[in-house]
Parts: sequence; C-alpha cells; structure tokens
Amino acid sequence: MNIINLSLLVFASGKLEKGTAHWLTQRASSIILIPLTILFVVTFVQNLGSSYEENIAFYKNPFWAFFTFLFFNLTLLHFKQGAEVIIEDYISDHKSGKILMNTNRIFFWIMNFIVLVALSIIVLENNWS
Amino acid sequence: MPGEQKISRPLSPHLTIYRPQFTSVLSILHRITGVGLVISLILVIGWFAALSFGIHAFVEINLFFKSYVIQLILVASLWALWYHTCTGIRHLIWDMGFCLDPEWINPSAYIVLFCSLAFTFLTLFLGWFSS
Repeated sequence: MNIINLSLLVFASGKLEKGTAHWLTQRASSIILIPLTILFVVTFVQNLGSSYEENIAFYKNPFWAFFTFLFFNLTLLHFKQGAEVIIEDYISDHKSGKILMNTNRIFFWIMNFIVLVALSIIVLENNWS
Repeated sequence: MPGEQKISRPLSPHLTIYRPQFTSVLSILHRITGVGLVISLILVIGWFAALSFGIHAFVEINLFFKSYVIQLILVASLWALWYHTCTGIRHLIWDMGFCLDPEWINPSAYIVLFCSLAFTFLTLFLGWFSS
C-alpha cells in the first residue's frame, strides 16, 4: 500500500472515513515527531543538569516554549492514538473497552492542559514582569 | 448481530499460543516501549510543571530525578524512545511499500537494534558532558 496513493485517494474523495483519518493522522504525527523528538531529547538532556536560572532562560524563549509545547502535544496525540489501537486489539469486552477509551481521552486532555499552563507561566512570568 | 457480540472470540494476536520469533518479539517490543514511555512522559511533563512553579519545586523535582529508581527509568526510557523511533521509521518505510521482501526483514531489524543502542549512548554522553 502506497501512502501517497492512499492520501491522493482520500483527498480526491473529499471525505475521510473514521478509520482512514485515524491511520493517516497517526502516520502524519509520527513523521513530524521524528525531527521534534531528536531536537527535544538533545536539548532536554543538556538542560536537565542545569540550574533553575539557566533552564528559565532557555524555556522562557517563546520559540523553545512553543517547540516544547508542540512536541508534547503531538507526543500525547500519538500516544492517545496508539493506545486506542491497543485497546481495540486486546480488549474484547465492550464496557471496559469504552471505559479505557474515555480514560485515555481524559488523560490526553489533562496532560495537554498541564503542559500548556506550565509553559505559558514560564513564558509570561519571566519575559514581562 | 447484537446477540452475537456476547460470544468472546479470541482476538487477532494469539499471544499465548504463538511461538515467539525474532521479528515478532521486535514487533511487540514496539508496542511495549510505546506504552511504557508514558511513564517518562508523565515524569518529564511533571518536571516542566515544577519548573513553572518556581525554584523550590524545581530543586525538589531535581532531587527526585537524581534518585536511582528515576535515573534507571529515565535511562531505560531513553533506549525505549530511540527504539520506538527507529522501529517507527521502519514501519513508515513498510507503509510506503519498501523493504517488504523477506530478505530485508532481519537486516532491517539488526539496523534498528544497532541504531537504538547507538543513539542511546550518544545522548547519554551528550547529557554527561553538558552537566
């Protein structure tokens, strides 16, 4: 199956089926995550041993703050979608499957919220105060 | 149809009766590392939350991160992350229709294993020398 042919087919038809959209967004997020992951790990591994002031100086930069948010946002989306496939694959019971799906979605939103608030505070408190 | 859904049929990966192979072990490791990485995802997001709280929370979380258990989890996660990235790229190559021939299965698996270990050591050295 060729991803380019498939994408063309999907966009030509003008509507995305639920499964196709899931498959495509999972691939798209993973492709974007390759450079983001490399850059995040390389910067984070160096920042981990640094002092509070050095870390604030680095992450208050709107570019790095936005980059970090984007990395976590896409990673959380990637995890959410991966977990959905795993739940579909291994959980045959309808009720517990639904509970797990909802837990997964709630986890995704809570973590996104924490990341957004934390990075906003770092940027807003240290740039203009 | 609604009545039939109550029958619990076995689902596709028959994990309990299927003989483990080199390729199947690598494949399931992709899933296990993917799920396991959520632990370090929570830890690292917690680190950023602490950074936003201020210097006291930051010092606390750095002490927590220096404990042996967390250090072990972080180093294991580093390998898991690179392994998941490398096998992920292998899956993307398969999705595009390349390297699907049987003679490519084992070489690509060895490339993935080698790269994941190499990247792990590279990032560990990078962290070691910068701190």
